[in-house]
Amino acid sequence: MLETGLLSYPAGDCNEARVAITKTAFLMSFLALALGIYPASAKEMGKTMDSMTLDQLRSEFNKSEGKTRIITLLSPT
Amino acid sequence: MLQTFEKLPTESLRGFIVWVPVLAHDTPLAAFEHISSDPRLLEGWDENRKISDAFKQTLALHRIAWDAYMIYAADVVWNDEKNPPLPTFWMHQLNGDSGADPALTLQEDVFFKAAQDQLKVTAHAGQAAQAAR
Repeated sequence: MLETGLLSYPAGDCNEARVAITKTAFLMSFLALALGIYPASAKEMGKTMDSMTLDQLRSEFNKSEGKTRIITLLSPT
Repeated sequence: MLQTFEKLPTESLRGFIVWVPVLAHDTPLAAFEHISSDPRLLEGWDENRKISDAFKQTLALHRIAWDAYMIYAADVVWNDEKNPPLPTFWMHQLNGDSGADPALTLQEDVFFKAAQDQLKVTAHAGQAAQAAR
C-alpha cells in the first residue's frame, strides 16, 4: 500500500501512483512559479521579480543619491 | 555587473538591474532565475520596454537598449521624468549598427576600474565635506 496525504493505492498500483505523484509534483511546482510563488530561498531574500516602471526606477535612483549607482539593462536569456 | 558588486562590498554602491524582454524566451520567470541575493541590488521587469526605450533616447541608440552597463556618479540627480540622465561612464555589448561606440564595448576590468574610481571620488568628496564642518 502506498499512502500519500489524500490518496492511498494498492501495492500493485504503486508504480502508476509514483508516476502520478511525480507528475502532480512537477505540475504543482510549475503552477506555483507561474503564480509567483517562488522558492523559499528567494522569499527569504525578500526579493521577487516585480514589474518596474521608469518612475519607480527614477525614484529609487534619486533616493540613493550620495552613492555611486550602476544601472544595467539585461535580457534574461 | 554582479562581479563588480562582489568585488566591491561597500554600502556606497547601489545597483539596479532592469530585465528587458528582448528575446523570444524572455519572461519574468526567466529573469527571476538570475536574481541576486545582494541587498544593494534592486531588480525589476521592464514589461513594456518603457525603461529600455528611455535609455535608448539617452544613449542615442538606433536599436533596443539592452546589454548596457551604466555608472552614475554619486551627485547625479535624475530630474527629467521621461529621460534618464547621461551616465558618467557606460559600456555595452551591442552590435555596430546599434549606434553605440564600439570603443565602449564591455571589458569587465575596465568597467570595474571605472566603478572603483567613482567610489574613490565619492569617498574623497565625503571626507572633504566632513573636514569642512
